[in-house]
Amino acid sequence: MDEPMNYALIGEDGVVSNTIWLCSANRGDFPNAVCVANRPVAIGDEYAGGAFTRVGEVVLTYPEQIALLNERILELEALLSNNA
Amino acid sequence: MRLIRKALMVMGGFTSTDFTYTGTYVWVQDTSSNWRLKFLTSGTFTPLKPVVVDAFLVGGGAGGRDGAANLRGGGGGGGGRTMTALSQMLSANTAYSVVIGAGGARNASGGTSSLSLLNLSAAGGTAATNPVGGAGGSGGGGGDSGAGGSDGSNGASSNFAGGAGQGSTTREFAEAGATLYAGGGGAGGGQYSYQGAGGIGGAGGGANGGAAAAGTGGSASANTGGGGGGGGSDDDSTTGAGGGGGSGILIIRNKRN
Repeated sequence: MDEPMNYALIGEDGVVSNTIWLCSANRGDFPNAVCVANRPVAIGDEYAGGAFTRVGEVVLTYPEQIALLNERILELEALLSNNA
Repeated sequence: MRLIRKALMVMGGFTSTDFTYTGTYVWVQDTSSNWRLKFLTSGTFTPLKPVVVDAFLVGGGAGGRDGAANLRGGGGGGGGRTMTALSQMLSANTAYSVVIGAGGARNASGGTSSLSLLNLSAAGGTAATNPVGGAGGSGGGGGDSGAGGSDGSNGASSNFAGGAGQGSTTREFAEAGATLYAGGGGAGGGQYSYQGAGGIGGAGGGANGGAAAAGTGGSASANTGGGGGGGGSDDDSTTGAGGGGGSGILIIRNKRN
């Protein structure tokens, strides 16, 4: 079943002008729409090269944020053990 | 003569076979002569005969704010704004773009719903500025544990202010007793003030806030324009995520009154 998802409408300036609820079956009605699914994209974010950014930082999904934090925890633990 | 013929066509009734729509919709036959057409996802609407309609739009609800690291519950997301426009003329064989505003992700405002060519639009709810509730059709609750507003009211203030509501009803076609939309999200519970339970979401689709023990805020349902619930915050600064807002809706009906 074609479940609707969140899509970002991208302006000519590469800035997200709106977020809409849309099914993939008729995404052709909105040629400037990019599917964001669970990525927390907001109006005003920028889109370039296939990635959404906000104030220069890539907009990460919640699982991506957790993975990044876990990586940093491991790095810190390694630093601490080296200094022990 | 052309004007009379056009008027007769409009008066001839509009049925579920007199249009095409590329997105998803629901046709509701209220009585033998009264109908409503609910657009649930974005698409292109093409009436096959001219028709005069009343239109009701709801923007997407904002997502709830994550719990704050200073032990404060996140503010509730604002419900989507609403608008009603009566006696709108739709032309035959004209493609109207129907945009259904998305519910905002956590910490983000909702999208705008609109109907092209008639310049009708309803903005999405505004995300909370932690821990103050977000503004919108109905305001989001303020941290900690403030309840979401309903029917255009402000969100409840707690330790922090609730978000401002639009000050007018969010009922369908602004009619008393009609279906309620755009409830504000409840704020998350905050451990700092030992307010454990999350705030109750406002009637009309507002989602509940998460409990203080780093609970996740509830997400509003699709096509309600409800605000997402704020995330809770624990005493070790563990925080819960805010919930997503609910997508908006656009409804047209045969001209009444």
